[in-house]
Amino acid sequence: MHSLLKSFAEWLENTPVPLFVSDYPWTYQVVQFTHFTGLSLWLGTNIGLDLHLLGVGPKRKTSAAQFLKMTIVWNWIGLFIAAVGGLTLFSTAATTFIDNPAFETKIFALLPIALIWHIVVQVKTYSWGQTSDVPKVAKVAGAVEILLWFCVATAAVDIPYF
Amino acid sequence: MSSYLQACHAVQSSPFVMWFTDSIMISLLIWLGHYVSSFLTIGSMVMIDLRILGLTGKSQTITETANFYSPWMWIGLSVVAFTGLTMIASDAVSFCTSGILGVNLLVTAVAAASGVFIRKKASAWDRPSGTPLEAKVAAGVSMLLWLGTIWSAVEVPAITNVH
Repeated sequence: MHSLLKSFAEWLENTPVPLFVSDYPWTYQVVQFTHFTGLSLWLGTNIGLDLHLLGVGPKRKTSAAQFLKMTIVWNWIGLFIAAVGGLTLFSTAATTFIDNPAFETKIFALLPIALIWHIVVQVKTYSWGQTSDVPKVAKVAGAVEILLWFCVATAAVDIPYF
Repeated sequence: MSSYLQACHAVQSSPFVMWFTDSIMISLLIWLGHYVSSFLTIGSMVMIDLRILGLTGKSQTITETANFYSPWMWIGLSVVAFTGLTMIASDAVSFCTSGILGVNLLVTAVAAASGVFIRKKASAWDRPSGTPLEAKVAAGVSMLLWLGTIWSAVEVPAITNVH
């Protein structure tokens, strides 16, 4: 399995996009900018929904379900932009990244769990969040999602230390 | 050596700064806090800007959107400022002798000021006839400024070579 990943990483590093990024001094920052812009949009909309479920913040007329309807498109656009940036960053040093325990933990364990949890929360919010009287299970789900994304961020910040 | 550089050296080598730069756990917490709070700040402000531009949440008024997101923008910005200062202190000589950090701080300050302006004007922009052009321009400029903070922030480690 690891040798297959290694060959994939070597192939990926030699595709035109990472070669282009490595050829110019300014392109890496452009890719980082893309990744961070997507993450801002993703996190802003995610935390907004989780806080609605938790009932934290000023009293509002909008229910969690209405809030989700308003932000769901931007939420997934944010993830898409973050993923494009993240994949490009990964491709520039794929062989190094796949041997990094923090990166492995982030990509193969925490990120899939957080994403699946996020989808479940979004789907269930349409029934949980019809009114401002959100059930306890929804509050727990919102808190767990915030915790999961903190774990993903912690693993990401750990990457340079390994 | 100028007194400015001496001051930077003094900050960088002070016992408190040495204590947290020597601890991997505290350094990690600072980085984590800085990244997450930056995304929270920018994400919150961009959602308000998108609402003013009419690109999201039309069932909610601009005031309601601003009321919801503004506190999170300020909480995020406070954490960004605190963690950012500790990061600067840990490598004060490299950071304070590079112009890019000044650019980043300036753009962030102007972007935060745009947040204050938008929050103050939000209720006046909730009109039955639709959002005024002035509001849309302000939201567009604010969004560009926040994107500018990300841009200048990614340039800081690239130019100062401090990671």
